[in-house]
Amino acid sequence: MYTDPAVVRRKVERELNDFVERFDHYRSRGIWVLQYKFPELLVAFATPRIKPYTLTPYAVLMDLSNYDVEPPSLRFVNPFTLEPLKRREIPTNLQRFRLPPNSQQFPPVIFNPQVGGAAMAPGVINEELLQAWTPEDDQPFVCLQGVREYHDNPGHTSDSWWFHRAKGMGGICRLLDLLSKYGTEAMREPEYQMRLEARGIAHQIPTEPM
Amino acid sequence: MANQDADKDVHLKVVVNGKAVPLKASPSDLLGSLVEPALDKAKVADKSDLDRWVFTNAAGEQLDKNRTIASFGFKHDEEIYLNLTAGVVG
Repeated sequence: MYTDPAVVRRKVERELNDFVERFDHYRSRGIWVLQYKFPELLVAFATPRIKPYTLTPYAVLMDLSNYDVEPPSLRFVNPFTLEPLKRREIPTNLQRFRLPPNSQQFPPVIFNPQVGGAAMAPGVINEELLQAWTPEDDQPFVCLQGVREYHDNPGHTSDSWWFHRAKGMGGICRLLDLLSKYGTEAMREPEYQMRLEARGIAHQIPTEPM
Repeated sequence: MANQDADKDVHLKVVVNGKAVPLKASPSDLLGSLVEPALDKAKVADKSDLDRWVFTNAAGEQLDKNRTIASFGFKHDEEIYLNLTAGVVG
């Protein structure tokens, strides 16, 4: 850390106090803070809409080193073991639907993933905020202004963090809100898959000498 | 007369990126008119993208900024949330 840890800690804890003041609100949305050990914050995301059982498909380890000279770094982890999750192990794309700029065709709320599921309509832009190279990639990242991995990506050198810092884009509560909104809050029902395997075929190999 | 109007004002707590700020507004004002004063009170320095700020209620449902404040029937000191939307993915 190249910044003064005391200053960073003070900034982080000021924002965490804001979170704690609305703890019930965030808890009811499935945003559960599990651990805070400066400079890391571990937050699990649960599914408030899936009935009758709640799922906790992932947690995010937020690294707040040098905050907010640098934006938070986000890493998806297993909430039990803290092992980094591979892309294929994260059951969401952080999918976002939006209208093209200046489009007035429909009220934007229709395309909110939280309302009525993933309503697709002509002209709606479908974006996936979670990016990875392959399904085996163990460093999938959130492609979002205000996230360190976004601004560190060579493809985003023209979109510096410093263009966005004063808007509060890397705010802890904002990022948690978006990870929930496009992730676990958008999950409405579990999808079941039945897989049949033909076992015992190996036993059909003749054991007696021919 | 001024006092009567003041009595009709709606008192809200606007939670800007997690930080709550109290705001008072006339029922006839559009919800969108609260964006700038809320950002001022929350000390958000950069107000260049006002369109990207969206209001949601406690349930996370987006509120239409073109509706009047009276039309939502907010309770006294009700909390609404003002967040910066996700940007363009690229």
